[in-house]
Amino acid sequence: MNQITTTERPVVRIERTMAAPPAAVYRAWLEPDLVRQWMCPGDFEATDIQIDARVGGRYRVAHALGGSEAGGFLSEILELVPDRRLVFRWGFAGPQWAEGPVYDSLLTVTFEATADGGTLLTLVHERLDDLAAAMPEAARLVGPGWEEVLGKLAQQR
Amino acid sequence: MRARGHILNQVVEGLADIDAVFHALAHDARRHMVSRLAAGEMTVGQLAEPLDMSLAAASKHVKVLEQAGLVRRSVQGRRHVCRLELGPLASAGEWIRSTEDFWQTRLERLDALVASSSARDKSSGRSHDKKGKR
Repeated sequence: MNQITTTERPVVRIERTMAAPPAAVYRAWLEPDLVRQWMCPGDFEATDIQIDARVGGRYRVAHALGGSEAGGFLSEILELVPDRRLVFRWGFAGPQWAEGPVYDSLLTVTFEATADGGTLLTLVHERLDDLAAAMPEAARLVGPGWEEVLGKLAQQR
Repeated sequence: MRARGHILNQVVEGLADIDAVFHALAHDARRHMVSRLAAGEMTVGQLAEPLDMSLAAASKHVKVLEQAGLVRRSVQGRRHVCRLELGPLASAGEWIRSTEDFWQTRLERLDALVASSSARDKSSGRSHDKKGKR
């Protein structure tokens, strides 16, 4: 909380080896009944999952918390290579969905077969800096002198 | 277990904050106030002065900034002293870390899910094989 720099780690990159084969892991990203079981954290509930599994298709995962809408992911499939690769324009939406702002990012997931029949999954989530920087960026756009303000504030800490 | 639901908490609360900050900064007078407060604390009266507005009008603008979390107002006797707050801007940096936490936890869950379903597939496949051999 003590940093103004929001671009110090603009990319999230995670590798994970899984026991299941690429086809099974790939499928778990595109079948709503499977997605529902893993893409929903803790107390949240996946209330509505719409996946149009083709390039340009919509990928929507709605979450609710305690019965009330909590927004979720409003995304689009940009690339789809069966059992190998998925690329999304990954949008974060608030409870008002498209009526409110949706913050886009880019999510690339690749699936590689390992020697023992498992999968090496690599997830790269980028352009998060746009999202993270949304506030100072917007501030910078709406008025000159803002950077100076931020600079001064940074010195105070 | 607070890490669970972390990103969505961030998303939902974060969006509200961003909207409030956008709204707050979408007005010339309020941007002017923010710029001046960057130099140091100021009363509502001092903020109102160069803007040629009434104390009541200035106070309304300060209230919008307060709601966005950009300004904190403290009452010192009859003076309302305003101070700029960095909170809503600095917290934006938290997004990236929470996104990473989110995917780490989700992929663990995905791993467990596909492991159990592919184990089921394998075992049902084996039983087919056995039947075939019989």
